[in-house]
Amino acid sequence: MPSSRRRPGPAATSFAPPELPAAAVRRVERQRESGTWSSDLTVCELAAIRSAGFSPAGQVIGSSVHHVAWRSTGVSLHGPTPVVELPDHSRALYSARRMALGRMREEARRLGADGVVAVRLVLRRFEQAPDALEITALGTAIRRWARPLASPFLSTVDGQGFAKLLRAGLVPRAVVLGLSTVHVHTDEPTELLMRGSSVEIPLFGAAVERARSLAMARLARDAENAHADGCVGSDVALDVWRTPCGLDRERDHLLQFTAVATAVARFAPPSRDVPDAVVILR
Amino acid sequence: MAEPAHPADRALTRLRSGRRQGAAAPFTGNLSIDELVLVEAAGLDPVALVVGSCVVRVTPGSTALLPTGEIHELTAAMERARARALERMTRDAARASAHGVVAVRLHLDFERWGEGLCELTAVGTAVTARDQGLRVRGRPFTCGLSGQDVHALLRAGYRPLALVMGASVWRVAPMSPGRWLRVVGRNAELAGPTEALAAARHQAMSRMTRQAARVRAAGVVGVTVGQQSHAWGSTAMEFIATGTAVAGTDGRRRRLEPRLAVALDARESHPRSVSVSLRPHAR
Repeated sequence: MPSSRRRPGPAATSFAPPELPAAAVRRVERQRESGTWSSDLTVCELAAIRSAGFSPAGQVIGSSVHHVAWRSTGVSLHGPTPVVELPDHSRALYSARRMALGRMREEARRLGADGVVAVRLVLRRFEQAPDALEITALGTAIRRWARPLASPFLSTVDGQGFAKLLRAGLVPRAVVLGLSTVHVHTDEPTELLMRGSSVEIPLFGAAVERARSLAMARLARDAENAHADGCVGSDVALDVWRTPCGLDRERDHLLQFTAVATAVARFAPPSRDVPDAVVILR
Repeated sequence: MAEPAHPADRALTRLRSGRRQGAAAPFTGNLSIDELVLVEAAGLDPVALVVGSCVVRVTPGSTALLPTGEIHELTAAMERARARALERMTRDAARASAHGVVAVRLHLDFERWGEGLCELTAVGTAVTARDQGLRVRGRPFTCGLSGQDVHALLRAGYRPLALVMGASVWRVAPMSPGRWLRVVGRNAELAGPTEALAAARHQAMSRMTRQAARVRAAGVVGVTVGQQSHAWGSTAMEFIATGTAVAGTDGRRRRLEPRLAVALDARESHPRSVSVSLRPHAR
């Protein structure tokens, strides 16, 4: 397959400053020298960021193309239990996002920024190579200090959200991820249940629970590794596909749980009351 | 060294120093930034995102010959599934030593698992209460209100008790030929369907109210009454009423002083107009 990349080695998952493409390095250098900045901030976001004491440093981007595939290996896949995780798949999804975010952070660092706000992760699949996945991280780098942070913070919250967080005594630290892929084989007892009328299917509930608990535990670990006090703006999604079981009809399911959030660190205690909040009759 | 005055400098100093002070695990949740700020200001601290789900098989079976009326088996199945999802979510919260769950959302998915299968999910943010009055009998409260509403509710002197709901699955049978002949070519009220829909809706609402009475609520706020056919097509229709049961916090009722705002943006300032779309009936 022409576009399928080699699997990432152990180096891909370590978090040393990632290599930037030459084009990105040139663009960042030029932006830095130009003395101006670009951003995809709205006017309100710009005003909010200024009010919080920061100014934009420039738009930053990072991307990574990964080969992320799953193929039915038939009966051997489900061992003693019908619900199994596919760790390779989970890891590939995680490191693809991590690499894109890492490259974006590296761009921000080279721009002399303290952090990046309004980070979005965009996923693209290619028609010619359905197993190849491009993940792009986009955001706007912002700065305050002349001697910026060694590792700029990342946040998925927008400009207004950033300003509100600072007022509440919280500062974004990193974009944290929790991902899991779980395969569930529809066993005989479940097949029988599915012929009944109104009953719970415990196996599927257990599969959802497993996918969710794996992903959320990883999200929490990611946040802890970032020395954060919490996660906000969690974007949680569960995708389910029906897959064939060996040569059988589509009776198995593949679950993919994705949680993306901004880890935040507390620098001031939470206020007991919001001073500028008013109750408005409208 | 004196602490830098500007919050932005304090924030960056905190990031540079790295380590966090608290020993507790980082909190998670499904709250927006606004909600987080308001919920914290109301004395509730988020702990964890809690989820409960339940996959059930619900099929109406052959209802073609049934008269108009409730399909008890389906009502029971849907109510049981919702209750289980909520129960599992609450158990998750209790395990995290939370005192309550706010911003609870119930999702229903009839597509991804396959025909006749439905996944019910209850998602919310488990919180601990700084106020003793909100810690109820070791069982976390559940609340379907947004963070903004929770803030206003607590400031107004109420506390959330439980998410309450009532469902009712009905079959509305097609008109008999005799009846159809009586209304064909005329614009008239269809007494049968009108009555059936009203009865189903009232049944859902009264079941919800009964649940609220069971938790000794002073009232139910944020009630929504909906109806959906899910994947059942024309064979069955579910009526569902959900709301949050609340009770007063004794003696500590604070008065809210709302301000009247005159909005300059036209989008929100108009009263919602009543629109009627006339489309030729499908049949």
